[in-house]
Amino acid sequence: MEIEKLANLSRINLSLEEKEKIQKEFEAILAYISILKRADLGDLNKDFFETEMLNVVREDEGAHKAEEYTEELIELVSSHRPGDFFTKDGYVKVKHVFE
Amino acid sequence: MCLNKKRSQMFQNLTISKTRQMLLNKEISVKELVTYYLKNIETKNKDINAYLEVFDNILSEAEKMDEDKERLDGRPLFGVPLAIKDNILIKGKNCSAGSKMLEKYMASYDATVIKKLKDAGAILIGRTNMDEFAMGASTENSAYGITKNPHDTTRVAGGSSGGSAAAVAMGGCLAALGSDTGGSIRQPASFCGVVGLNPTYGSVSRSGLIAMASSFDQIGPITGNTEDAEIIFNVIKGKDTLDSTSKDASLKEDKNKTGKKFRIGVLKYDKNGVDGDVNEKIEESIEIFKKFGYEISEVDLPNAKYAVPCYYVLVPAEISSNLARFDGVRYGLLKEGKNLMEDYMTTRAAGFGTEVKRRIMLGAYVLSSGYYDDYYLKAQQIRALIKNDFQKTFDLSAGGVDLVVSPVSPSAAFKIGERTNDPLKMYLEDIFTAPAKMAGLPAISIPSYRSRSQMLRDSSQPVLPIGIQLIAPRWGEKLLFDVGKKYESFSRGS
Repeated sequence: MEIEKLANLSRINLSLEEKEKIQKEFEAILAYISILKRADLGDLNKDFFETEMLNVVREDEGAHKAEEYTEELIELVSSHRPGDFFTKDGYVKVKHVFE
Repeated sequence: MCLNKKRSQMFQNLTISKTRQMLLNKEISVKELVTYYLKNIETKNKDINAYLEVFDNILSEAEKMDEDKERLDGRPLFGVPLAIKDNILIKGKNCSAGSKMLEKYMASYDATVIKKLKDAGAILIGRTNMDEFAMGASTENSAYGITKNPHDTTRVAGGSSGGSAAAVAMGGCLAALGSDTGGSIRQPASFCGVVGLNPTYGSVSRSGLIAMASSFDQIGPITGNTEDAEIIFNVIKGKDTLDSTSKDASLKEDKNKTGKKFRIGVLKYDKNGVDGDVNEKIEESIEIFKKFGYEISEVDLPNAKYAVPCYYVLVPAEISSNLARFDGVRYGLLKEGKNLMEDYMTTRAAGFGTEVKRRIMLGAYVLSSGYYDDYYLKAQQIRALIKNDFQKTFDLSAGGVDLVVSPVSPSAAFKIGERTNDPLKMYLEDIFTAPAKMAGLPAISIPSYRSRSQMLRDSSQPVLPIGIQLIAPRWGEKLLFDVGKKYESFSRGS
């Protein structure tokens, strides 16, 4: 298990010290949670794990008026970003996604 | 405006009922009430750091309330000063979840519970300190300093709702809201000598609660007594269209004990792994329940020993998903890099504390291919087993019990810094509180009874509160309140 790989997946830059520290801590934590691997589920069949839970959905319409919150939310962004790059015409703007 | 000493005494140990009565009879005004708490905050908060922010204009808000002719009608929390944990959104107010990531974030809407509290006439005093993104059991993981235990300031207030529990304990509010994912209401309540309710999963809307682990999180009250917890719970509960995991209890589900003898199951646990004081309190409480005429038995939850490792697989997995939104784009901190990916990586490195990073990465690990079956899938299966253990325990038709009693934590409040070097040691704090969360059950922490002789014995040193935990079946909050109130009146009587 590579800490570097996990840090990338998690989109977090780690310093060298942080990497070393987390590596050690992870070893201890994983050793602890590995008890789950050894847990015996007994003779339970698949039915036992069937859930009574249902997905609750709504119709894809009428959630709120169009642009009801736009101004407020754009203001939230622009008031905490330098310059005026980050918002434009009621949209939040980001640096390019594709190279 | 100040209060003279005699008048100040009127405000000590208030309950919501007493407050309502005094407001109705015009014995006190809302302004005086708020002033009293503000004064306590002024004297104590610098040291204890329960509050991150006390809101402006609350005195003028209190004045307006005093002028309101309609006043208490239909508003069960009229004039009641409440503190709110820093992960519950209040429109127009800063909400930081104890993190630098959201240091400047202003909430753009009210959480559903906040709307309900406002409609009920409550007055919101300020936001309280917490472990960052609710990750922790001591409030030492806050990016805004630790919260000290008002009973002994060399010790922690517990976590992650340490600020809320300390605010109530130090007389900084009449009651508070916290949130509980693995024990974060009950444990600080136990450490600070107050009452903390973790409600049935789904009974209180999570809309407006900054999400940590969506299948565990619940908002609940932290109060000075059980009746206040009941009153606040009844205000904040209810199905919400904005939270599709919420519902109202059906008539069939509403537990109301009638007739037969009440049965309490004491959880079987390793007494050697728990402080002598805690064991003593459990044994004393059993004697008290016997005095009430309850039938006492021992109950075993065979899979509860997997609850903590299970918790530390499932919760980090949900955390890694829920905290992915903090990327510097729509809100919160942004630390720019050369490109978008570097924006993400630099922002999250700067905005998150160590424990948060640890859990996000742990979550990524257990969800990644090759490990998913061994950890995440297995943990979900074991979660179902734990739920099943509880179902069997509460099955009255098969010799089951009405409530389960257990410790809240293996010890009373520990010293500041005692566990910060060992994450595992901190995780083990959840050993008694995590099982109920696996099954979505309601559980309450109540300060344990102390006899007069115990109080005399301990008068030469700071007394550390110890809570006892009652766990009920889903939708069984009334059972918790009934037994809690009875236990409290016994405690008061002697």
